[in-house]
Amino acid sequence: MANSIAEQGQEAGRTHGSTPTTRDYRAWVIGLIAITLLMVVLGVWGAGTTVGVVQPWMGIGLLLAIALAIITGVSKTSSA
Amino acid sequence: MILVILPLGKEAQQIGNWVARVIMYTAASVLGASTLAFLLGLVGWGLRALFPWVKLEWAVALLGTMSLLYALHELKILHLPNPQIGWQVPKSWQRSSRLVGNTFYGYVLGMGIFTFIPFTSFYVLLGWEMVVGAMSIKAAVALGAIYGLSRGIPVVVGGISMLRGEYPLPVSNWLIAHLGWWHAMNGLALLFVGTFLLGSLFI
Repeated sequence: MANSIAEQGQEAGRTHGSTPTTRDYRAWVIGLIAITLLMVVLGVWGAGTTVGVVQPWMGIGLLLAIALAIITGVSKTSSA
Repeated sequence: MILVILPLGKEAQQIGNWVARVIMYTAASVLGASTLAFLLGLVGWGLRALFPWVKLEWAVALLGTMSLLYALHELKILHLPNPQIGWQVPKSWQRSSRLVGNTFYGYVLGMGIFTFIPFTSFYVLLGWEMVVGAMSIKAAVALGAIYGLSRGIPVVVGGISMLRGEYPLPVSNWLIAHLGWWHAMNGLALLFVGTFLLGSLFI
């Protein structure tokens, strides 16, 4: 797992156009792990505030789907 | 794709031409994505009619699990199947008219299933459209339309920057160069969605 994340760090380093350094990897790995944990905590916290099971076709369920649709769409066009 | 729609060099001065292409590309993208969402919605609706005893919890659990697994795929922790046709829209579509060609590009790329699928969050979105369609086909189509519109946003933003006298090439290059970041962002979004959906089942 650490190797896979470090590979992403390397990619991030390369795409910056600079020589990747160990510090870059560390910052990338620590940052990614921190944000990953934050997302999990936010997801669990959000679920805790929802009454009953999330309904994917209305309310907060549909809002989540809209956010995912926007991220996916913008990513696809921007990266190609 | 931004620079396929937005022109290089002298052509950029023909503002009317490329603004029309940006508008048509985006509108066609909305139409293409809505068409697919409608079809998926119909499938979801049909499945619900066929299996009325299947509870909502199963759909939420399936979406949540799919989101978490593909989050790990996007973060390069797990390797999952990434089925795709991988077809490239042909340049020849622009031969007779760039406006017509770009409109076709918008429709096909808006549907998204015939070309490359670089982000697995797209599969979760398609699954979500099916689940939504089981309850409301209108909501599924709305979801598709928002996805289609968001496919046009980078092109529209590039067009606006051109109207302000700033050429979007550096921004486009920067966006393409940071592919790893896009994957990380998609992975994190899927992680949030997955924990939220599954969390609502167990908390």
